Amino acid sequence: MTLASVMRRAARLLLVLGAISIVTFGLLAVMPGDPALALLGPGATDAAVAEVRASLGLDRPLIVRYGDWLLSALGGDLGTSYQTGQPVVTSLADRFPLSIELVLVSQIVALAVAVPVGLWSARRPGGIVDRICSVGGLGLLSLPMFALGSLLVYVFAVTLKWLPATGIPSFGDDPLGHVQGLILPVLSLAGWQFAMYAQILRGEARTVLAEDYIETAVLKGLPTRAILLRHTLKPASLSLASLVPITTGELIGGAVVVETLYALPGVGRLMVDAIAARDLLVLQGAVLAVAVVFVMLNLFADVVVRWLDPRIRSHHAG
Amino acid sequence: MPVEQGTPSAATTVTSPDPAPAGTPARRGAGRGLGPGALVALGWLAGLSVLALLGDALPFIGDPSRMTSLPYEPPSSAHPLGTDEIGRDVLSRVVYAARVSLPIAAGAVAVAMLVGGIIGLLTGFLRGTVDEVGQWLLDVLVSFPPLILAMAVTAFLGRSPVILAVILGLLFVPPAARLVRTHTMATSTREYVVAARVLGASRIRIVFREIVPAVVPHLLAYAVLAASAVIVIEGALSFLGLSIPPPTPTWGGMITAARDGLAEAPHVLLVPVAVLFATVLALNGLADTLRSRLVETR
Repeated sequence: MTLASVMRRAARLLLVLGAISIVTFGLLAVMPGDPALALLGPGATDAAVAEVRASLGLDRPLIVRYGDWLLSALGGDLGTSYQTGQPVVTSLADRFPLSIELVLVSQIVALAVAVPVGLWSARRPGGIVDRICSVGGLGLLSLPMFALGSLLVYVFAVTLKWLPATGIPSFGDDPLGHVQGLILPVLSLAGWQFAMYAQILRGEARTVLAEDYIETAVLKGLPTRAILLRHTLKPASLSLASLVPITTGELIGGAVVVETLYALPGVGRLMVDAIAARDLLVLQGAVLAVAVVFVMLNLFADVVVRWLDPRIRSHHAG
Repeated sequence: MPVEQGTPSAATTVTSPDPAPAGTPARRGAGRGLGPGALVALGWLAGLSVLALLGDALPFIGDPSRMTSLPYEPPSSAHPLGTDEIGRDVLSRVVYAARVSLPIAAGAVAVAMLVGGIIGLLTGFLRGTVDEVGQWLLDVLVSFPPLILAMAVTAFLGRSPVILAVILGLLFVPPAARLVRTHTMATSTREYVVAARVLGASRIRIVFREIVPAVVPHLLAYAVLAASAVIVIEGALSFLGLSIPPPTPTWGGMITAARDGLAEAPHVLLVPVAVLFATVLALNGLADTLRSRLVETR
């Protein structure tokens, strides 16, 4: 990439990050009712409300309050939870690792299953495997994550009693228990991703197999498996990478659902609990953190796409 | 096919990577009819809407919040789908929950198509600065994961059906706008549009008489897909207890509540899951049919 395009990209990123901060700050500012009362929660004394109003500087202009908030956020201060008295940044740091683990492991599982299934079903378009995959894929894509997760709990935790329905010990305390606790959440998260990836791979593989150069490869005597692996995976990986904004958005939302369903202490659960307790600074901080992570991941995926795609790469180099 | 929550440029290009069926004999043989799958899907959606509209005017459906029986009753003649954790009729609840899901989905899709359609037309037709500003605004909107944005906004602003429909609709403005923008730009260069311009037609006339009719079918096909995605997100919100508050029944809320009695009364879980699945599947299947139909006629 040229310097100019890097600069343009950086400028755009700054604009988007700025807008994210405005929206996140704005949520609290446009909320109906008294933010001080909402922050303290129901049952706060009048004196406490007055104190918080003063500390929030609610009498000052909005733009000044935004500036203050942004400066402290940049300095790593997102306020304090009224519930636990813990700094919001600390709670976020405690909760992020498990969410990241969940998302990463389910991505790996989804891809590891989708690649063979997608390529296999493309070998014979319209064949049995292909049909099962296309019907099954449509079904899996139509089953919302919370419904799939609840069904998994019913089958594997309640009926068969193979796996725990809730909770997860830390890996250090109980490695086996940790892995067992991870299985159902990961399956719930990976189901939709798997169906999505398998469909894309199947489509890519079919397009590739219709190309002339594949016939050449076949006539050369290359086995189908080698052809599929060599010629399909690269263009398909490009489509997969360009899908990242959708799949990550889906996974982050999915993590909220799955962490609630299986009572896992991740960021998603933190947000749901914060909403239930009206602990709005925690919610605000978590939304900001998640949105920033999301934007960064999308930017990263965009760079990867450019790096993978020779057309875009040479266009920018030239 | 379906992108549960999300960006639709990809929904159109990626999830249906094989427009191949368009040319295959099987599809061509289907002719102008909709095909059995699409008819079943339409039948399900129409039937569910009628049930939801009629509500307790129907013989088997009663007040969804009345405790009419013992908890966790299995299906019986009095309660065709059994009763839930506090003895309410599951059939009545699952039907009344459609009164939440379907109108919110319809409202959200209307918001997304209207706002996204206007933005897409303006940015695609005028280009230049308008386009740049529009693209940037859409970029901001897609920089929040959809469910997180919906959770945060409803937490701060409240959970009325109108707020839910508007916020869920806004989530689908960027994809709708990009779709319309792409088709607007493609149509603007077609011969008949150029001809109209040469003949001296006003810009307003060109937009409404030439471009809009070409763009609307694509937007409608996307609307069906968006409806399924809205139902899924609203379901996730109600599953988390962040949509319309109880005692109003919602599919997501019913699925959450079924959790405690899974061992003795799985029907309390399976009924809302099946209804939700069938509805989303019907919309996804319809969206697929519509899209391949569009590819075919192009």
